[in-house]
Amino acid sequence: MCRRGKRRLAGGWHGFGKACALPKSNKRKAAQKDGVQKMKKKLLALFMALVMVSGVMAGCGSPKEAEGEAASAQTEGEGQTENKQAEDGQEADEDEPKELTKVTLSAQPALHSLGIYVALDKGWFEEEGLDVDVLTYIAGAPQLEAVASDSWSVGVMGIAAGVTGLVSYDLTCLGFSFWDYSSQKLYVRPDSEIALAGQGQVEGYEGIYGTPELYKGKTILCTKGSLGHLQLLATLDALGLKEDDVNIVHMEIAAAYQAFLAGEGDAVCLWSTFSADGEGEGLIPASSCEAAKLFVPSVILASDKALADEETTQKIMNVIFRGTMWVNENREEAAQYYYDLCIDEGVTCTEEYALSYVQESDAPTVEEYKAMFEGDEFSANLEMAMKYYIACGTYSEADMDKVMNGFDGTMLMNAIEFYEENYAE
Amino acid sequence: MPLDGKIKLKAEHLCKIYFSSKGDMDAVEDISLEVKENEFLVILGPGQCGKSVFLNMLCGLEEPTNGKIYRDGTEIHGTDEKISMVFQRMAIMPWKNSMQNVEMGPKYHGVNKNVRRQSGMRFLEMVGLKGFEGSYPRQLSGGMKQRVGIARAYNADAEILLMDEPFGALDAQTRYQMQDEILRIWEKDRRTILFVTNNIEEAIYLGDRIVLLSKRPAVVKEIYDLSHLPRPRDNVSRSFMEMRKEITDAMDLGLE
Amino acid sequence: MEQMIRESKKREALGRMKKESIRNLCLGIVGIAGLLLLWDMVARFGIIPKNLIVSPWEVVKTLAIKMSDTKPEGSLLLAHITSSLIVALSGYALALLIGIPLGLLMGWYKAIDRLIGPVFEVLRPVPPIAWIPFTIIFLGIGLEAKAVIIFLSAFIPCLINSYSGIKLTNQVYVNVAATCGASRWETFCRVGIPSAMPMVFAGMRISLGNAWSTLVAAEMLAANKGLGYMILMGRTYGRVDLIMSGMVMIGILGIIFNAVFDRVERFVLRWRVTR
Repeated sequence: MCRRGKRRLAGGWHGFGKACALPKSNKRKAAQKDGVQKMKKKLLALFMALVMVSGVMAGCGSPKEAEGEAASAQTEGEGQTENKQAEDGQEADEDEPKELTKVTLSAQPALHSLGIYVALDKGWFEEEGLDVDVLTYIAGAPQLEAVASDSWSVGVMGIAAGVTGLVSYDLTCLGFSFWDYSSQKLYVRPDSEIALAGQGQVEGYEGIYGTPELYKGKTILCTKGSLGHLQLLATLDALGLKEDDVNIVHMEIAAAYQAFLAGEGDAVCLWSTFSADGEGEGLIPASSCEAAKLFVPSVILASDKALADEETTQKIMNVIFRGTMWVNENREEAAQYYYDLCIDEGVTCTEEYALSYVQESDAPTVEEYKAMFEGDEFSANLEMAMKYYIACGTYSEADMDKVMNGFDGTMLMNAIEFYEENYAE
Repeated sequence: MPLDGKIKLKAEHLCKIYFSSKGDMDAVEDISLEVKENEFLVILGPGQCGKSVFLNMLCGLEEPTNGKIYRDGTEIHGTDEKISMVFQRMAIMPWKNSMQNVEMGPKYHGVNKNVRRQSGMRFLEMVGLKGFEGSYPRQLSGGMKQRVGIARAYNADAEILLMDEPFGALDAQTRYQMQDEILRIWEKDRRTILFVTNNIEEAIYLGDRIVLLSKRPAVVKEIYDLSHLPRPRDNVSRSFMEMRKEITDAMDLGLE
Repeated sequence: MEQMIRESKKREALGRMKKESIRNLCLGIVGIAGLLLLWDMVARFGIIPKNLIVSPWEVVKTLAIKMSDTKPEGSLLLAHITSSLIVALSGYALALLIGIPLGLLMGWYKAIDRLIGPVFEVLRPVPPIAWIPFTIIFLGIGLEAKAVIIFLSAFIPCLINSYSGIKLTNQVYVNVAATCGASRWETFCRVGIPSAMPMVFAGMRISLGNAWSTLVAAEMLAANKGLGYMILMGRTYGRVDLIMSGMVMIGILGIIFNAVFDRVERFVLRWRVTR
């Protein structure tokens, strides 16, 4: 009997039991309580220490640049830092070196950001006293995540991501660079019912193929949150359908394109090279931004920090506008920039495609820019995009106000004036 | 009990060599042996002499390099359903309870479930484990596990039971108990038993005859007839002690 | 020992044991509570920027809202959970059905080992995500493709553990079966497999973890429902609360799985010697 009892006791001395081994004494109960109290105190102390340590470590905040680099390195390799030093930076009549303000911008390997890269290459930022780094992102989501950790101050992206930036990241929209709607199309196979039904059956939207009935229940491969998705929403709206009437499968564009070619899905949303490729394969554009009358621009967003420093941000806007106008007027050379940019960032592109894409894309003239902001045309665009998102439940009415109040075209107007004074022919 | 009965098991010049490119190992050189029906034959030898290998050959787990085995006069190769083995340790499948372990032999031969159960119960009772049919090995002591092993061997309908140092892993106390137990079981249900041990006292206590093996590679050194010792054996009697001395001397325990 | 003294000693001993188990429980709770507190403070004081983290209470709120609200990604929480469970468990079941028998056979029959082993070693290091383009082409974008991605990461521990487990079969058991007249196949079924069970279960447990954690990658392939999808949408629309809710939900379900698995294991392996 006794032996069995001893064995149990031995078992109880394992691990923590041992650490808190109670001394055998007659005042056992009191000693036990004491032991438990001590334990509690130790634990409390331990995790106060934990909290303090984590606070100190995080508070040992890294300077903006290091944070930016760390954050961009984390965004799954979708961001890269380019630091192209311009060859000649100084104005001829300055003998002392200007002190350059350090600034980080963000952009995408797309036509709407081309102005920034051109300006960087030609040294126009340095002319204005800015030392610029550009973070490149292939998609809007990681680009916005980076601004949350203060990685960049001004950035260019599509309107879909732009709206998210206004709603969820408290950014401000300063304007736009290019129209963003060319090459955004919804493709179907040439032998599908939609293609065979032909165009012209939807009132007011004669560019769309087929009838609403044909679209119901179809499986559409699409990258949600992209402009392609917005185009799809616009198409559905034109057809009088809701998002629930079709089956949208979220896929990244390269995978979506591959899958579609392999026979998956009834329709796919494509853009840029994928569109060109798809048409080469004989796919039919059942709808597009143009057909759905979605003439949207890209957007330029700025963080609160950027707005606090108005002077610098204005200079940035000036240069961006200058670069954008250059692209507008020098399409062939711009195509080369576009091609190089795509190759650097790993985006599929051919020289022929670059040329045709850049040459054929719509770009606003200076007058059109002015008109966008003097009238309410720009905010109308934002409103339209938001309407589609609200209809499918992505954002709520409350978010609409945020978006409408979130843009301020003053700096862009100033940039246009600056351009007209200094560089226009 | 008079031991002139027929020859149950016969080993003729059994030999086992493990060949290898790095050097051969001669385990059993030459063992020739006749086991009488229902006798309790003890095989005694120093450690590592090859007695386990010999037993494995008899039971079919190892193939003899040379030599023949006869059961009831007919030559046998490989495993034989009339020959069963009780192992020294870890012979009870831990995932089966006692009854399932005991049932193993008949189960593999496709015997009906009820019949199996009945005979299984019978033998469990015989080895003194009534009430423990549903227990798992982790709930049984060492001695009890060996008893299950014995019951299984019996239940497998074996006429010849080979036992390879079955009590070697038990503590001294249990060992003595089990020695009495095995004799009691043998009295109750007589079968031919070949019992391997390296313990001289155990050999004399249990056996009708003792086959003394040499060091490795094993040959038969001497065969002792113990029929002059009365059962139950008294391990402090003079005749016991004399036998013990004789065998000890013969075993030549010095290091060579 | 006198009865009275014996009983009082027993009471003391039982009391001590109870205290110890309470203490252990408290430690566990304190650990989790500490983590939650840390998390809350980090979110509240902006140690990590507010757009990248959300406090635990927000997560609870979001989960509650998602139970009845399909916005913003179009499905209720339950639909997401169901979809993810189907995907993950399909892949897991496939892993068990293929990995375990294959591992057992490879471990028992040398011929099978020599045949399949090298192929397995070559394919093993390839990460499941790398298979996505292939699966799209051959299996499309439905449940099959996603289940296969999960299968690829889940079946390796199953196979390896089954293999090792059966290789460790005690030779004595094999001998016993042989003396009972069992063929090699019978011995495989009646001795090899039961004997390998503890290791097979260990492999199954690891596989379960793998399957569950590959879920997000598999749903990245193509989805319109699921916890991984919910996280992806959270990222696309800047809704950190969705991201973290998804993560927490995945974590909770993982814990539940583990607990259920524990129970099952303890029942099936009730013969095992525990210390």
